[in-house]
Amino acid sequence: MTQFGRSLTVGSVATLLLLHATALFAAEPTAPVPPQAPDASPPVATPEALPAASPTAAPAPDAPAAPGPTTATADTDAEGKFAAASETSSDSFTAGEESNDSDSQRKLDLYGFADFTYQRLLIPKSNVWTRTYPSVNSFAVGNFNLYLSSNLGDSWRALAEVRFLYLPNGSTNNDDGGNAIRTDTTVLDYAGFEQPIRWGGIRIERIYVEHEFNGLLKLQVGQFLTPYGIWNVDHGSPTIIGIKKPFVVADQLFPEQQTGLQLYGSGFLDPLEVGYHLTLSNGRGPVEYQDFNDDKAFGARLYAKTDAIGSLTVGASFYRGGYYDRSAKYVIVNDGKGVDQKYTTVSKYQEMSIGADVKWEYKSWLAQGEFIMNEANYNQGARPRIQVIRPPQGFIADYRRWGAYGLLGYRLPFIPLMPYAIVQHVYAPDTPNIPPATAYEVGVNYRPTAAVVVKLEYTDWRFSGPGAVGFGNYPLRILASQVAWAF
Amino acid sequence: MASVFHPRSRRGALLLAFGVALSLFSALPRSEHAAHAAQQVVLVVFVAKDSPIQNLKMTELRRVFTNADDSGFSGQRSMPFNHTARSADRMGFDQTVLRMSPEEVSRFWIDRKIRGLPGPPRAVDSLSQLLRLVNRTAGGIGYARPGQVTSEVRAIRVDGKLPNEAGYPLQFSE
Repeated sequence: MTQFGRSLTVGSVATLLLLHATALFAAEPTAPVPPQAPDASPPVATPEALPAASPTAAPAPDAPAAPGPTTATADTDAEGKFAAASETSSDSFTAGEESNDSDSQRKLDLYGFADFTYQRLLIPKSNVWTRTYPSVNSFAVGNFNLYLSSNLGDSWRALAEVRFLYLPNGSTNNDDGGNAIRTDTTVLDYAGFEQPIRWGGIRIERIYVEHEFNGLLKLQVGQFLTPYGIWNVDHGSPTIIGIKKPFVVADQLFPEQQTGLQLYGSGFLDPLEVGYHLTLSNGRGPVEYQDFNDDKAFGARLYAKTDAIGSLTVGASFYRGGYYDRSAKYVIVNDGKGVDQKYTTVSKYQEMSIGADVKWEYKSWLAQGEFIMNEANYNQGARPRIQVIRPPQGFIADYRRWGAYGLLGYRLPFIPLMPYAIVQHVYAPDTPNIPPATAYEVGVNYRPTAAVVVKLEYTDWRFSGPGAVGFGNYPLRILASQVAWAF
Repeated sequence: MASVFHPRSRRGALLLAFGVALSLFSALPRSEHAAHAAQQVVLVVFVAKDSPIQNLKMTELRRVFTNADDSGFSGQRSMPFNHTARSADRMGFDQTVLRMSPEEVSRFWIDRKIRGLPGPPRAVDSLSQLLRLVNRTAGGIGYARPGQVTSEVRAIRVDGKLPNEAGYPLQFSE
């Protein structure tokens, strides 16, 4: 490890400890809140109401107050609103309990998460990854996601999630000559003295409205996260254990989101919960809101969950759909009497994905894993050119890509720290620059409060070949740290 | 690996030891609290008087208060009402029924909301309001100490037992 690497490690440990110390001394006491004022009119448990409640079971009568709820003078005001002023809550999420989920009150619930990352490559400067790996040696705010949720009444619910981006500023595209062309969004700010500012983008992660017919049948319409596996649904950086998605999830062997319909539901047969998801959508495509060939994609997920031995969930997912991209050009038709559009196929294929996942939380242990496979078969004459840095540039072949990861973590009893290890493997012939690779990761996930997570992670990638351009000849070791928070 | 004994690494080890000591220190007050307060508290689970529910297993109660939807074809969901987050009864209930500490409960709901799932049950800080809400809300369910329960609502069995019966599961040490 380089000297800087050691310093970074020590610094990260120090940061973890300082954060923990801060949380320790600044946190509210975990002991129960002090007793409240006695009830104005102490209720009486009548035999009818509580036939078997014995006097010995009741709290001591000389207790100054019940530790639970007390009668409040503002009862009538609060009735139906569920918005009575609360006592101290541990965070804004539990504070939200006081007023959420009310059909009689359509309140917009705003919350979200964000993360801040610093990563460094522990490899010599001569290594090609130092120039090709994204966001190296840089402080970066990666996610800033805002949720907007509302109960609309009568079993209707709406949810939207947007991600604010610095992109497209700074993103690069390669031209035919191999030049990486960087996007610059600098503009002059008319609201000031026309000083230069850079604008960013907004990405719609999901937006849907949902109606619940009953426990077995709920319908979402809009854009939703594809219900597969564990990581894609956990989704947010404070919730997921590691810093980066496993490659097999990041590479979207299932589409990350879909626009269309989702039916889902679950039933409970003690001790087993069985649930399903069915999706019908535009499928993968170049435009989220347009399906160029009316070839709808469908998918399914089936899972079983039990709390009999810790919390064990086993699931399987499926997806089938088509991808079609085209270019369009206006042409003169009917001897110059009209105008039409002529399409040229850019890319067209049928794809199928399958996945299996398991998650087991037992006491302080967490084990989870996913296996995902995706295959694509191109239509005749609809294969795009493969993007390569070094010629010859052929056409993309049909491919089958797959990958898997396994995670094992243990949350320590006295400090909210989870050391974890991840092993992942990926085989992605559709990106020939990346040879089959296996990564070994170890890290710690420290949660000083429920809403703040500090992570430190070391990853060692091993490649089984050079790949199309020789990247696999170079070792890749990454030390990354992240602070993620929910708000 | 030899660098583990390097002075710079020793500083890291000291910091780590300091962190472990802090953690042990932070755990102490809880142990003391547990040692000094041994009063057994019983919580009664109650529903509206006209509710068909007579008995719930602990597993079912856990699912009700984690907002799991077990309404099946009927669509008749239970509507749990909680005590506020840091009240003694709430913490005892969460520990006994959900098997979670307050921190774990917070983590649980944050993670759920980030996944896009509905949030926690409503928390009510007024006993009379809690009783009235349970009485008037379809599927309403709440909990309180036996002496706090009025004739507005009806106590139910938990795991087949009433609060004064031996083996009643919903009790904790205060």
